[in-house]
Amino acid sequence: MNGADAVVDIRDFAWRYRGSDSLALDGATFAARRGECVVVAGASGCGKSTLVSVMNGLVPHFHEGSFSGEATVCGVDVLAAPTYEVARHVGSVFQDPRSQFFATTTTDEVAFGCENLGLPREETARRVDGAFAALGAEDLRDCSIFELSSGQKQKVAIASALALRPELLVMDEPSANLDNAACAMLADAVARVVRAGCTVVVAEHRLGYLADVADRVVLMERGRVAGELTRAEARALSWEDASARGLRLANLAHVPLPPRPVADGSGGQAPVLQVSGLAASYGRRQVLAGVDVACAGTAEVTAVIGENGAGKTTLLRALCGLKREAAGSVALGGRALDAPARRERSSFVMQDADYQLFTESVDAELKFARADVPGLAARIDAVLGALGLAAARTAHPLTLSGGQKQRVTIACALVDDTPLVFFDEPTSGLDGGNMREVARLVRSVAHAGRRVFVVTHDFEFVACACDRALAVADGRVADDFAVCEDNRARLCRWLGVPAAVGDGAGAGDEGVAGGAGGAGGAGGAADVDGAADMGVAGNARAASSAGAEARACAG
Amino acid sequence: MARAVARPFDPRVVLLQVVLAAACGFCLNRPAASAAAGVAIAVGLAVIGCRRQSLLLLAWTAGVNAVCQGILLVPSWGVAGAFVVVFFVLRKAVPLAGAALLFLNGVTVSRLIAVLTSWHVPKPFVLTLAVAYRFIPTVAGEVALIRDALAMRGRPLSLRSFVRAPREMTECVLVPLMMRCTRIADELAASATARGVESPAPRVSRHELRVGARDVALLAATLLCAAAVVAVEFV
Repeated sequence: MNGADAVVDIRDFAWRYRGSDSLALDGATFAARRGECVVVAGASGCGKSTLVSVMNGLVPHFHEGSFSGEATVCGVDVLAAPTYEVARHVGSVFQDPRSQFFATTTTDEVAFGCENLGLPREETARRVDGAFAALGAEDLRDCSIFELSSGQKQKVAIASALALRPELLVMDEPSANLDNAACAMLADAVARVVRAGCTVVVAEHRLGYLADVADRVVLMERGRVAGELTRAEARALSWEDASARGLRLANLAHVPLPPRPVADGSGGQAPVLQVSGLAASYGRRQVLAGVDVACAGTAEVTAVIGENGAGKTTLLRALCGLKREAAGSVALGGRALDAPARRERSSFVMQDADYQLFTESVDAELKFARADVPGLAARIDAVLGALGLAAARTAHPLTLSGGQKQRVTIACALVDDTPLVFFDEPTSGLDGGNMREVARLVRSVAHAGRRVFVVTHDFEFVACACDRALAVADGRVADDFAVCEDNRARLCRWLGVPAAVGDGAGAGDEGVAGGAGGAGGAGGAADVDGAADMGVAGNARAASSAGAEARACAG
Repeated sequence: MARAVARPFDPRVVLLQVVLAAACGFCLNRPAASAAAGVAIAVGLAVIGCRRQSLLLLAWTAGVNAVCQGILLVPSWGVAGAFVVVFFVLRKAVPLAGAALLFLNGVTVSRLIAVLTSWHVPKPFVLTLAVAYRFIPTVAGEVALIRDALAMRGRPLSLRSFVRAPREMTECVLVPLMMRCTRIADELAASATARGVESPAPRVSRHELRVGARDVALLAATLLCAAAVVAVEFV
């Protein structure tokens, strides 16, 4: 690449975080041209976030460690220049909108960087106006950040970065906590920034929402650049290729869905659940307006899907007993249960495991509040073995990796042996490989005889893990259908994702059979490693009989 | 659509209100003076646009003072004595609660930074205070999620559970809360660093601190109320 065109020029850069045995970046070489939008993709731990941190100077000035190599961004040696100098050229957007805002109002937040650099008041005001206008976000001026949706928050975060008028905008997994509608909003914002001439580099797992914006996708593996895809190649990525690279697909038409399920009862048994007229309110605002759900005795994983604000999480909270119902009933195994009784029979795996870890070791965590359960020790041994946590038994839960923490919370649900298990966005921010692993675990929980509900926006996860989808709208169940190829269009509509990206043929809303051709080869891999030896009655293996269930995620 | 924030008063006037309200909490002993302070602070909250908080403080003031008066009518001194200390503390806390409400609702982080910078407070202290202040609205949400997690694990967060196992319940709340706070603080620091917070250049707030007519009126009203409360206490 011509030096004059290069906005980012990183050569043979190596970085080791302090206290780490391995290199986070191992001779990475990366360049980006003026006006380009480049996605840096790869499995978790490949070094993409670290690479982005080099571009905005957080490596090496904020994060401690040792490095070698060269890194020049917008003509500035970011390894030598202080971060406030780099900030004049590079804007940054981070993963979690909640923890990147310094101010409590949107306009103050957008002005924050300009104030830090000591720009005159009038110049700051001009730049703030310009930033809101560039994103078409004038309606977000002077608002409280606590009342914004996640997509709006990320928009404000981008505006805050743009107010510094950077030549380069770097984003570190900005869609991690966003639903599909918010991702579309984010993609629009990124497209506007690129059209305005700013270079954009995005570290991401999710390629779909940037499929029409990114010029190329740089693939990273073990701290090095391992390859590159053009926009067309990224869109054409097959399910198998994406799985092999630990990526999420750019084109969801390539995600295989099972053929129509056969109701042969071979999926194992789970408690019968009957929900009738369930209503719930927060103050005077009614959130659930009469939900009716019937779950027969067959083990299944039910996805709870719908737009933000539809009532999905409230439904989950009401079912598990965290939220008292205002009306209606929930009966398990023919017996009506009030909220406290439902809590005793439910486990809830939250999106962030940090809220659910209370003790000093994994072993103690599994024994927490369940000291009187018979056969507890044997159950714990079985669960730890099945989830690959045996080696971490004595480790403090908060020292574990994110994936391990999540597995500990799932282990708690299995040890508690509750008939109902609820998951809230279990794949938020996960790469393709970890998403498939979580899907496998969720299915194993179901096939150990539990009734499983999952709130999710993740199309690929629904394809991998879920048998049924409950679509919630305006506080009611608006649709209830099997997750299968015949219902692809319905699933896409309720998840707010396009059926296909870019290509016209077979990309319509109805019948993406052509796009699912990529799935045909993978469709036979039905075998999900089920409950293994959890010590629980019920069929241990999924309905792996040929044709009865074809799952994208092989066990 | 996110709700727009009303144009606030000069933060220095609000900070003066906070200081006076806090002083009332420590200095006032007479029930009438405490009640007067509670009412005055509630009116102050309403004036700066915090009507819900104003009603809350009014209700607390009225309720606590009514109970304190009612205790005096209880014939049994033993029963009365058991409650009088608790409600005395609650009555003393009314102005302090009002001060906290004024501070949290009347001064934004950005304006707080602007005021402290104008007073030449060292930058590291300003930013530390700003981060702490920024955290406060999020703590309640974090504790709510921890409460839910404990409820699902068969250890509901309640007065009863704290009385039964105070050390264990305290750990159950503090450990995940501290973990979350540490992570959020780290991410917030990275975000601020990437936006030039370490710049040695003098920080220029977008808010021009200027006392206008309505600020003068609020200041005058505040001083008048303070004088009236002092009169009730000492005269």
